[in-house]
Amino acid sequence: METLANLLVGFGVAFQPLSLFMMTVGLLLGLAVGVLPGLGGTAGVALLLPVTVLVPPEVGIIFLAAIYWGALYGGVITSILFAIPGEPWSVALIFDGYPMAKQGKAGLALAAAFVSSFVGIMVAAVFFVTLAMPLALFALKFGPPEMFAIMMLAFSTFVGLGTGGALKTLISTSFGLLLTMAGLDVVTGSPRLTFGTMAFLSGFHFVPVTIGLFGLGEIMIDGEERLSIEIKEVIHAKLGWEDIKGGIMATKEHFGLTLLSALMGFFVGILPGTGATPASFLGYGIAKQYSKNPEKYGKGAIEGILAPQAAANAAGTGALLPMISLGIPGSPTAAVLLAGLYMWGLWPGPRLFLEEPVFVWGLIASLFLSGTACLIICLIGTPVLASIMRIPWGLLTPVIVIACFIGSYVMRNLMFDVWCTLVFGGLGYVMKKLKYPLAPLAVALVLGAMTERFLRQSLIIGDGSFGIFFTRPISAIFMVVALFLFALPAFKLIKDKMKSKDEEAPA
Amino acid sequence: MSGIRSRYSFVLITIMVCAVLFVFGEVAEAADWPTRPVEFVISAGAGGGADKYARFLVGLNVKNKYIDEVIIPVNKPGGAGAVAMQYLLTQKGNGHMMLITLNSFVTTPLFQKLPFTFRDFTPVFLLALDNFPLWVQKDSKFKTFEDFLSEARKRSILVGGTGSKQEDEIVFRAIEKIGKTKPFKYVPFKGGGAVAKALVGGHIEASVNQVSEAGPFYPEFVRPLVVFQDERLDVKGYEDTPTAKELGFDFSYNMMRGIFAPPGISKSEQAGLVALFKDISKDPDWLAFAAKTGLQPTSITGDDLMKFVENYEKKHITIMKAQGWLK
Repeated sequence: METLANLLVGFGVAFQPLSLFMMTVGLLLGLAVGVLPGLGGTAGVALLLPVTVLVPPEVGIIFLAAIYWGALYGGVITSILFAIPGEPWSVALIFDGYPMAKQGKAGLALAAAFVSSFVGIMVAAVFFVTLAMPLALFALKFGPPEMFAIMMLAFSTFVGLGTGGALKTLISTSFGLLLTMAGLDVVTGSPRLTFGTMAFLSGFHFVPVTIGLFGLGEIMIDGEERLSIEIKEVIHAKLGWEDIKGGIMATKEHFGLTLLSALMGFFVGILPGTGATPASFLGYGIAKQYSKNPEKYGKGAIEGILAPQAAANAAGTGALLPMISLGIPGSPTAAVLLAGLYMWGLWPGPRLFLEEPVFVWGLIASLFLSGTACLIICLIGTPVLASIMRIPWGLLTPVIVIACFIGSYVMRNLMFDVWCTLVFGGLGYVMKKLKYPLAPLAVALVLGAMTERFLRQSLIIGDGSFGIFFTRPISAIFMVVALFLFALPAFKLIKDKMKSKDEEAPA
Repeated sequence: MSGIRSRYSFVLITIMVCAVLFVFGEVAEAADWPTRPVEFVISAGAGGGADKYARFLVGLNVKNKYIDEVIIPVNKPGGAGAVAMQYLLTQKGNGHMMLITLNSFVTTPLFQKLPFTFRDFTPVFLLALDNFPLWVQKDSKFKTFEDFLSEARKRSILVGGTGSKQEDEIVFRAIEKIGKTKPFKYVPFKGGGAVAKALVGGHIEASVNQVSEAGPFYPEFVRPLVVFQDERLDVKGYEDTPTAKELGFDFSYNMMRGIFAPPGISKSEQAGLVALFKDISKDPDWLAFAAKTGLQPTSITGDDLMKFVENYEKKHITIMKAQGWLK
């Protein structure tokens, strides 16, 4: 009852004209920031943080949160349309979203992504209202060994992902992991694999690399196809409201999957230092693992959009929970919001709920409002966005290429990243030609550094023994499941061999 | 006699004219700064420790317009500050740029054997010294720092901190050395927030988080045993936390929250930057933040700042050599 009363207070704050205005501005800014590759939600929030000193704190946080939700929604647009991840957590959207766009189903793909985003945010918002404190405390039980086990689970769901067979997947994954090694060693602090250069010391960031691999790579492949086949007109992206209906219907049809992905995403999101990106990969991987026909994935399966997007948005929202309830940021964006709290003279932590109910509940109420408003804005915009695909290729492509390079530069303001995009664009092309799967490389690159840190932290805690992963109950469960999934392809291989032998035997 | 007098007055007048010119010239020139937006380089990613401070300071300028131009935060993460420092070096003579520094400003060039040191940069301002209390869980069996030390002499206690061979590890290694304890099992985390989380979650036994990081969990989840600085923390609720020196443990260590500029900037640009931070150092929001997080506000500038940092370097060289991190 008290919760309900608090929530009403929150809605009172969120429905103030100033709050509504700032929220709408924030959402639109967030969408813009999400669309621009490289300029992520974190940067967007950080850039606009100082502006919020001009409004009351409870309006300020609603504004900043709206930018964040906008970016969560907007990041998918370029992933689906051009295979360029607008946000780290929308890399997984490329795997099936881009093929759909190529098949002329861009509108449907976008609508499905927006609707599943909405489900993700709403699921997270409900947890926010009901179980904020106990969940935040539960998340603290996850130390390095538990986190490593979860990372293993994420990797295991990607076994056999994409084309090219086990060996090529292994090579692709290893190359991704190798790239994450350059920079400072997480435990000794010494530079490694830098070849004495300052450029390598900053390490390979996955945004410029994925922009190159997927974005530039796809453009080159596309250009080549056009040159050889002389496609006069690509399949036009159909315009109209059917797509929106289709998106809603698809989400309804796969509602179980979407809801489960959202739940899973939310729990990953509240864990320390993960954020939305691993959640989106996990969502994709799990959806594929449990699909009755996994071979559809990577060729434009709508589930391949619903699952990662619902997971990513639930996780993105979840990452704010430990910040609000305990004062520890679950993601870089949450950390920037934390700086805002300091700036407004608020002291984040367990006491914030009691001392600043208007602030906290205003934010929570705005989750519901922002999520809904953003869905409406996006769905209305879908036909317009899809119509971008009707712009002649020769006009659109140069713009995309420029956006790719700008995007890779603004991420860290490093010229090195621009060169990375160029080199990896070439590599992406070659790998595609040689049928090496790109997805495992992206997953390894995104999760590699995190995984290494959790592994090495665990080993320090466990005195160098791998036993630590199996003696702690939570990590043991995840590890066993992960190991099972790793072994699954091997089982399948043996089973297939047996089967073919059985078939041969009678003949 | 009159000859000497007139000579005296001539000298006097010259000095006065020079002084007047100097003062007004300085003011006139300082008013020329800034002529364009000022870039604020941050050696951490968005959301990192230094990033939070920098953005807080930027917000103060938005609120109170200490300078008319905007301050643009630019993140140059990587290499424990090496990337950001290198970037500043390439911007020689750019007076519209500044860097927010931590102790890594001193330790990173030493440890990574970089071709530059802090001496290559232009000193601007030391805003504050941040604290290093030793934190344990609320229900930890360590009731006092002595408890902690005597246990640490019997076994390797599991501790955590930000990064590797940076401030937090330096503190623990120094405790090891001075307290003659067994080596700590030190787990490096990505940032202060992650360390505080690990402590509250019981994954490590102790940390040296700043009050701004662990404070929100005190007293519900964690408590400070001791603080490694000369004065007690001037924060409500921390009055009874002893300093290490009071307990006869001779170790004092702080985090420098300072501002430096690229090499070769003009005197007037330097003066403009100093004036900006002098204003910020008197900002009521800044002082309130400092009071809540136990920061000791300082206002050291120019040569004094260089001397201060030099002392810090000496201190670090001693600790790092003892650890074998430096030869």
